[in-house]
Amino acid sequence: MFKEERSGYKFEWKDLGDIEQGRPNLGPTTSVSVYRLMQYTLRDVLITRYGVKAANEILYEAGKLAGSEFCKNLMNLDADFSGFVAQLQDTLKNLNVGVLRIEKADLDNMDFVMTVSEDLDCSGLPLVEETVCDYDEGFISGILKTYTGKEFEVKEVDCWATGDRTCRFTAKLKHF
Amino acid sequence: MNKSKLGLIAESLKELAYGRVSDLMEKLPSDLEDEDLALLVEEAVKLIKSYSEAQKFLEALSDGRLEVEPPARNYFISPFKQLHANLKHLTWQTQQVAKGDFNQKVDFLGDFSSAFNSMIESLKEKRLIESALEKSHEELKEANSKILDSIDYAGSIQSAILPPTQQLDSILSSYFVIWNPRDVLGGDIYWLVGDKEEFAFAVVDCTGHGVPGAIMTMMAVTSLKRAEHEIGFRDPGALLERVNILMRDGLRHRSRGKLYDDGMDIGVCYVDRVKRKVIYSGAHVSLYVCCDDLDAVEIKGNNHSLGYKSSNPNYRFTNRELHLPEITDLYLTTDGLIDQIGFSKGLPFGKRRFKRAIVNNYGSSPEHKRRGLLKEFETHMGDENQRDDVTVFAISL
Repeated sequence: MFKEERSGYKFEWKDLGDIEQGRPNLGPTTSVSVYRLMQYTLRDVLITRYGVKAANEILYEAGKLAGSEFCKNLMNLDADFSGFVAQLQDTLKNLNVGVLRIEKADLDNMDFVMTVSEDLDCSGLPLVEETVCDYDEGFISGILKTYTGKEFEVKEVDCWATGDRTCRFTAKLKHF
Repeated sequence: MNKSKLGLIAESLKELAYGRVSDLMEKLPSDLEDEDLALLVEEAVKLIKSYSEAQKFLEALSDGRLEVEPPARNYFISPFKQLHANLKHLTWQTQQVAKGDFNQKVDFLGDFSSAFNSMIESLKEKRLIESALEKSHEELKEANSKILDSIDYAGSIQSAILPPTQQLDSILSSYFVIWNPRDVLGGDIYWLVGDKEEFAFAVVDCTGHGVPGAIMTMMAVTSLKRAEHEIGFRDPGALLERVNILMRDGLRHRSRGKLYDDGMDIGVCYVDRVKRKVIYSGAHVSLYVCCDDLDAVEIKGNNHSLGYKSSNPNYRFTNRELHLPEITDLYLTTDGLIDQIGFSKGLPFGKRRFKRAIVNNYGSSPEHKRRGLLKEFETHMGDENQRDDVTVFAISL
């Protein structure tokens, strides 16, 4: 189920399992450090095996798949845009993922700017003068694609790791 | 030499400490041989550039120009970039709220969050109250519309109990009627029975206006018809006495145990056209007579209404008999005309003004008389609201 060869993504929300049953004492949450430990070691191995560019792309793609499944399974897709944003903010806050805020939403041109503060992936990282939230970029593009049905190019322009207190993402329609 | 270069650097940094960006560093050569000095210059230039960018950004931010793009990779302004992001987000949220989206919520912005969120809650409550009010308003409008439709329909039913024009024309050779209920329905009616040679005509003013008044008129007409069927119309006094009893019986039955006390005023005039004889009997209603030799004369009715609890069932109404000369006008009117308050002085229309209108219009056509009286009445009333139902029934003999 998890390990067979595949040519397309097979992930389903139910693959996350019954956490309540499986962790009756420890519960459904864990430490942010543990999450980051997994992400940054995985990144390390991916870069080592496939190079920086490919590693970033893999993280983006994984994030996109996660965002899409997250949106399909936890969000009400019938809400209007501002209702959807309010719901997304609430869900991300309740799951301790980050504090989402919209700076700009041009619905005519599908052009968005948003920030995520206290981001799960990067907040508190040492300053490294490079953005690191490739997974988040993909996550946001997955959410937007599932909600709007359109492909988006999401780019992180500010990151805690670049010395900014909040991560800022731009999202524009992808032109093929 | 190095000392003077160091001096320039020191001077630049001193300027920076005072919040000023100097161009002193530009005087330094770009190809410094001393590596340490070159590194120092490079870092000092970066520092001054970062400061300069930060200063421009902060000035824009303090002016509220949120459209400014924050400079990238500038560590001076990290907290301000967060503030900038928050302000832009709040601007967007406020725009959504202005569009009516009350799902917005602000988190983790200290006191501002609770102030903003409680404002949204208040707006939500206000919206709910407005929606409830709007719904109630719509329901009331619908209910009102149904009531008005019903009243309009009742109005046409009430018109149907009045003597039809065909009947009026067949009995009376010269007449006019003014029947102006204050509302769609009225408590006034007029009545006619008989034929060309002998007939009786009447005006009736029942208690109240609108729906209650209209219901009373139905009862009044029924009682009048029954009384006329029992005793005829040649004795108006007896007719009133019989109507008094019928009304009292009917109303007592209807209002048993209630505080209502309803009745009516009426004037009935019997006319024998051949003998040119008139017998008049009234209950708080007068007959006005106008002929060649006389000014308009008021023939008063009795000071006793019909149908009220206080109305004496044994009361005898006076018959006043008149023999009329050629060309005589007879007018019956309810008190709605006489008592109507005028706009300019707040005085009632009054009997004197009514009599004057009768005299002034004597000898003219019925339509001319009607228009003349209405004009006089409307001029007197001006912008004042009509206070009561108004009925005038006039004939010429």
